[in-house]
Formats: sequence, C-alpha cells, structure tokens
Amino acid sequence: MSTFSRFLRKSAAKAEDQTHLLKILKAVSTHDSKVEAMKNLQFKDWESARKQAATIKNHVLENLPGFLEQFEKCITERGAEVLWAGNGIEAQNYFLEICRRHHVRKVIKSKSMTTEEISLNETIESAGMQVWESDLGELIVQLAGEKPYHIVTPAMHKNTAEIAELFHDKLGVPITESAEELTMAARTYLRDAYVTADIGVTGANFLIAREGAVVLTENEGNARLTMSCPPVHVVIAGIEKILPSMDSLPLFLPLLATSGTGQQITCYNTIIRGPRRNGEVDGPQKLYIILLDNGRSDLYRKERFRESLRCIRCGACLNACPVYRTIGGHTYQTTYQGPIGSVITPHLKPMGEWQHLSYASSLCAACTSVCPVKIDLHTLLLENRWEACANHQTGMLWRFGLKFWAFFFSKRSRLNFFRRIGRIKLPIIRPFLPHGLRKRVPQIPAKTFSTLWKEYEQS
Amino acid sequence: MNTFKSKIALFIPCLVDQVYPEIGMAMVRFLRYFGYEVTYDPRQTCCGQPAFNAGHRNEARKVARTYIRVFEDAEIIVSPSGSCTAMVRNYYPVLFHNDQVCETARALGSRVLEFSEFVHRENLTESISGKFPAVIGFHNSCHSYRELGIRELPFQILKKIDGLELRQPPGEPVCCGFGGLFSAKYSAIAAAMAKTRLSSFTELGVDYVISNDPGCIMHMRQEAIDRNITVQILHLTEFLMKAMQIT
Amino acid sequence: MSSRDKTLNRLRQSVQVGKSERSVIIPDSELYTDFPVSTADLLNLFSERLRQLHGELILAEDMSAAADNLYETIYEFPPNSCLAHAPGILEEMAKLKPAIAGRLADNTMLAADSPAFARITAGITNADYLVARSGSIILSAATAGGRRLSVLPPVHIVLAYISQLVPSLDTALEGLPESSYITIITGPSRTSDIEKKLVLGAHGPKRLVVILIKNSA
Repeated sequence: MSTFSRFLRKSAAKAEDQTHLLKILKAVSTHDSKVEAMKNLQFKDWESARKQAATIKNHVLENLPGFLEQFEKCITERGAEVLWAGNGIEAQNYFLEICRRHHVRKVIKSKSMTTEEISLNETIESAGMQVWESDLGELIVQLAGEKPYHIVTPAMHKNTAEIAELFHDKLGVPITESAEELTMAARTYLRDAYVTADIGVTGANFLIAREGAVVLTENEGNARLTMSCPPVHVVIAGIEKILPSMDSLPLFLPLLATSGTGQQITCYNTIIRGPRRNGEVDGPQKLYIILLDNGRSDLYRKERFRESLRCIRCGACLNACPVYRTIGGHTYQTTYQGPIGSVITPHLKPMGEWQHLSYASSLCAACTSVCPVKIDLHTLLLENRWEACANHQTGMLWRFGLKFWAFFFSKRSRLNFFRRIGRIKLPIIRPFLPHGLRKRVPQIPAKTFSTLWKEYEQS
Repeated sequence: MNTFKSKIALFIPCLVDQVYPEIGMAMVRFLRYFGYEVTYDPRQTCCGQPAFNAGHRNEARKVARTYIRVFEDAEIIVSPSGSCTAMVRNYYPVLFHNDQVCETARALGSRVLEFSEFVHRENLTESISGKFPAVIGFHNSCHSYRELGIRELPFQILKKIDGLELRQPPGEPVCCGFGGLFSAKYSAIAAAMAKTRLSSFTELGVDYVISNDPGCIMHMRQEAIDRNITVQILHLTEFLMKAMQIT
Repeated sequence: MSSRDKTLNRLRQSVQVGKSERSVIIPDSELYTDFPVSTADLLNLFSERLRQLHGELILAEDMSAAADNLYETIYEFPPNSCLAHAPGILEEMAKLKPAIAGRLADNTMLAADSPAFARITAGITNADYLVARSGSIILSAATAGGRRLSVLPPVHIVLAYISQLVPSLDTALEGLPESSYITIITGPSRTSDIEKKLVLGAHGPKRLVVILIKNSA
C-alpha cells in the first residue's frame, strides 16, 4: 500500500472515531484558552514580539554558515566535541562510536524530536543497549510501543485510565485514577535510570552562536537530570536551531513557552556551555554535540522554503490545525506532524511519496496566524502543491481531470455544453459514485444564474 | 451611497452560477433595493481557484485569463464569495507574476469587493433595517477572515436586524472543511470538520447559520442533510432578503 | 569532503536573500507587561509569581531570622539527608544557629556517585539571581554546588538576598557567572502530560523553598 493510501485509510478511520475526536478537542480547547490568555497577559504586543522573533531568525538563516562555525568554535574552546552528521545514519554511527568509546550499556534520554527523526531508540536497542525515555509523555508512548502523537505533548491521545492500564501492565503499578500517583510511579521508576545511566542524550531547543551554548527548555526536570548525572552528555540538534547570542533568550524563551504551552516561561531553562569545568563538583566529563543536517541544507537551498527553518518546534500550528485536530498525530506517519510537518517532510523525504500531506489541508491559514516566528505555513503548503505539480507528481487523475476542467471552464459556451451533459449524466452516475463523493455533490438546479438573470432582465 | 458612474459588475462564482443561483439573485435584489444598477457579463465562468489551490497553475491561468478579459474594464465588481474575492485580490498577482497580463490582474484587486466589504464601502449598513426574531450564528469563512481581513463587517450588518440573537462559538472561527478540492480528495476528514463546526453552532441552540462563502454553505448543507441536523444554513444575502423582506 | 564541509558548502552556495542588519534587541521593559520598577515592586511581583507556581517563599527580616527559618524547614527531614552548598550565607547562618550544621550531611557528598546522592532529601543552595517578572531563580553549577544538588533531591531550598532581585531575564543574562551549566528555575517541577492535569514533582524537586533575606541596613 502506498504511503498516500495508508494516510487516506488512517485519516478516514480517525475522522469517524468519535472518542478520539472528543479527546483531542478536550485537550486542545483547554490549551487554546491558556495560550490566548498568556499572549495578552505577558506581552505588550504579541504581534511585535512575533515580528521581532521572525527578524532574528531570518538574520540567523541569512548567516547560518558563519553562525554554525562560531558556535562550534566557542563551545569547542570550552571542552565540547562537535560532530557534523550529514544524515541520520551518520548521526547514528557517531552515537554508536561514542557508546563504544565509553562502554555504554544504559542510555537515558530526554524528549527530542531530532532523536525520533534519526530513529535513535531503535539504533540503541539493535546494538544491545538499553534506553529509557525520561519525559513522562515519551515514557508513556515508549511503554505503549507507539510513536509520539504530538511534538510537544507526545501522549496527548491517552486518557488517565489508559495510562493507568499501561503502567499496571508494564510497571506493575496498582490501577489508579490519580494522575499524581501515576506521575510519582514514573518518577520512582526512572530514578534508578538517572543515577545509573552511562550516557545522557538530549536534543536542543536553541544553539547559541556567540557564547557557544546549548539551551534546553522543559517542565519536568528530566532533561536537567539527564545532563547532570551520567558521565557523558550527547546533544543531537538540527543545524537550524541557532540563535545569534544569549540576548535573544529573553524573547525566545517566553515566546516558546507562551505558544507551546500557554506558560509565561517553562519550569526549567538550562544553558549548557560545555562539559564539567575545573572546580565544578559534578556533571558530565564529556559533552558531544552532533549537528544534524539530514536534508536541512537542501531545504535551505530552496529559497522559498527556507523560512520553514525558522521553526522553534512549539507545536502551536498543530494545535491550531483543524485537520490535525481531526486526524491526530499518528496518522501523518512522520516525525514532524501537523502543518510544519506537512511543509517540510516532502523536502526532507521524497516529494513524490509525501506531497499528499500538503494536500491534506483546506488552506484555512490558522497555522500561519499562530506561528510565533511568522512562517507563512499555508502558503508554503500551496507552494509544495505547485512543486508537486511541476514535477508531474500529482497523479494522472488530477492532471487529466483538471485539464478537462480548465477546458470547459475557460469558455462560457463550453461550460454550458458541459452542464447540459452533466445534468443528464449525473442522476445516472450518482448511485455509482463513491459514498463520500455522492454525499458531497448536491442537487444541481434546473437553471443557472445566467438563465435566472436573463429572465430577471426581461421581466 | 452609490458612488459609481457605471453599473456594478456582478462576479458570480461558479458554485453560485451552477448550484446556488438564488444566492446570486439575492445579492442582485439587495443591490437594486439600494438603487444600484447592476450588470452581469454571461461570459464569466470561474476565477480559477480550484486549479490554483490544487497546484495546477497552468490550468488556473487558462480559466483566470477569461475572468480578466471579462472584468478588465469594470469599474467595480461585487461578489458573494470571500474566497473568490481573495483569489482575485491576493493571488492573481502571484498567478500572473511575470505574465503580460500581470498589471491588469493586479489592478483588479482593488476593484473587486466581497459583499460585506461593498456594503461597508458604500455606507449602506446604516440604512439596513429589518425584523427577524431568531437565534443565529455567523460562520465567517477562513478566506474572508484571514485572506481579506473581514472581521466585524458582517456582524455590523447583522446587528441592524431587530430581534436577532447572535450566538457565536468562542475563539477564532474554525474551518468548516470545504477547502475546495480538499473536500473531494479527503472527504472523510472534510466531513468530520463540517460536523465539528456545525456542532459548535447547534450546541448553542441556533436556528440559522449564516455565512459569507458559498463553498462553506454547500459543504455544511450537505453535512446537515447527511446527519439529519436541523439547522438552516443561509448566505448573508439570502438572509437579508428574508429579514428585510425584499422581493 | 567531510559532512561538515558538505553542509557548510551547500549552505554557502545558496543565494542569500540579502544581508539584513542584525536586528536591535528590544529590552524586556518594552516587550512585557508587568515590568517592575521599584524595589517594592520587585519583591511583590517575585512573591506573587513564586506563590502562583506553588513555590514557597519565606521572607526573613535578617540573617538570624533566616537561620531560624532554615532550621525549621530542614528539621522535619532525617538527619544527614540535607546537603548544602551555599558559601557565605550558610556560614553566617551556622554561626547564628549552630544546630543547623548538625542536620547537614558532609560536604564530600557533593562529589558522591549518583546512587548515593539520590538518598539526599533536600538540597540547599545559593542563587545567582532572582527574576521578579517570572518568579524565577537563576543558578549555576559554580554557585550551586554542582548540577545535581538543585534537581535530584525532592526538596530544593534556596538562600538569597532581596538585593539579588532583578526585574527581568535580560538583566540577569548580562551578568552570568563562568560555569558549564546555568539553569533558570521557575517553580517546582511539573507535568501536565496526563490529560492536562497538573502534577508537581515530576522528576525534579516537588518542593521549592526560597528563604529571602532582607539585607541588613
């Protein structure tokens, strides 16, 4: 089955799943009101803040090679080792080499979409090591054997009862209705992993060029623990995560928190400037930073799409998207879901196979209106469609159908002719139309506006 | 009031022409009621949006060229569709970038108005009055709201009708799921979106859902029929005919 | 050609959109509402925010009162389960209330292996800054006795002076200490991953206590 057919099938199933729809609606509506409230509460002018953030990110993109080199130089001077991975396989190989060098058996991880992108967990397990997800949402989906449902809240699709059942099955935790008890169970379960892991792996929310730093933002404390306890720390970050300097953080940290979770600022924002320094009593002895390209520089070269690299992975576009709210995260079958995922995936992976995601949108532009770095998401979806069409990847039916359509709709006399045939044919073919289409094609009236107008004029 | 020397050129979207001509006639009657002379050029077919949004710009251009030929000399063009207006105003310059008709296409942008924009431009809102005791909700189409920036205009118009109780779902307007060919390609998703949007109105107890986009209207009406939801879905112009008792 | 060179070359070969000016950084006072100005404002806002976040704030009139507050806070924990690294403040407190020293584990624990460290109930640290607007505490591995002390134990106690309050993050970031690790702590650890229900103490400390000393005249 093609990727598109799978998507069509899964999305149709989810669209009819009432339980799922209600779950998502509930999660999203509480979230929505929090986010809106915080925008007005915290920022004097949210629009100005967005514009400022977009300007800074644009500046970064225009000077990305220089900033990347500056970051590498500064953080290397402070004892970190920077590695450049052209693609996911290279990143995996670097990681495995680091694990060999440090005799790693146990890996503790904090939430990172980049590690999902390169299938790090599968790599670790195939190499005979053990990996623990420390973020509660990620732990839940790991135990369930599922992929993350949402880039910020990975277990959004699971209710308390389902999580209780899961924890009971996998961790032996007594069934409970209390979110607190379940969270404490996860805390206890992971304590041992934190203190005995040989290596801690995180992503990065931002890479600071001028001062050479990695910034991580979280609420639970699992990332802090991952960076504090094990003797080795590995950061895997996309090359687009750069910010020019630390003085961008007073804007970006609250911006990310507001858009992502409706918080003023997240609970823990940590700035890592290297491995343990002389005189510091603990912390990892080694810090490795794997800079991941994996199609980003290709996306960068397409000038029109470059702005999608401004993304700070806040998840706001997912929450705003009525399609995402209907079909949920798993249906996309990609690491990055929702509008941003639909924009970038056909460039990071083959367009022919993934362009259907760009079509799974009504172009309502809700995503564009909420993006804190002002990415013109809905227009980029349209541009993806143009590219797919130019590459002749939109499928025979569409190409032929639209040529047919253009022929009849570019001249009135042809349109009139088509309508005459259509009105005769439609009642005949209607019962044979697929159910979806049959429902959607309304009754065609006897007279067009043209005809009614003529009659009106004569009267 | 009536600032135009020439007649108002009617821009009748293909959906209205072929499926809901009564929406077009409602707009005609409204304009005549306010003393405007209107004209309709039967050569018009479609603005080209379906092909454009499907990524097929060549086909869109073919159809849009006809549109440009039909309307290039019109002083003022009025349409009962936010999405079609947005196509001409916002996207014709993109579609015809580097084309010989680029300037003509671009110039059309300021001369084509969506219905409520026209009402506002001509200060007609003040003169609207009527009585219609009903509970209604207004579905502002995504293109009207986000592409044209129409936020308050339809509400200002509706406020002039006595007896109306307006009930709106909280927050920003949410897409009904039409999206042109999107609803054909992904009909299950589109249907679920229509259901969600309609429910957000019906759970407030509205009798009518009024909208300013024939595409949204068609999509929601089909969903209402399919699921036996008894709510009347009308275009703003149709609603005004009823409320103002214009025949 | 290495991956590094390939990536950098690909980026460099692309047509630049245009060399934009480095944008001027807008100060927090212009970006955000609630920007505190006076010392009283700083304290009020910090208190309000910290409490909203379910942090605990204890205001001490002077060092002696603060010492009593600290003793009362740690008394309920088993002896030797509290570990402190708060040079300056702690020495003064210990002089004023010698009983404090008796409740603390030996300093060598700071460098203990993590399984041993995990037995600590409360970590006591200084702070580098207190940020009024967000109710945050900024500390570094250099100031706070390493990385683990403020995150692994379930209770984190911060000892700070009111004079360490700054209005907003931008002021604090200008004067960061030299350290491999700096963290901005805003309330006790939390999660809403289970049906958006707020739970405190997910992995980091469940209790965050700030003992704030009014500076002596």
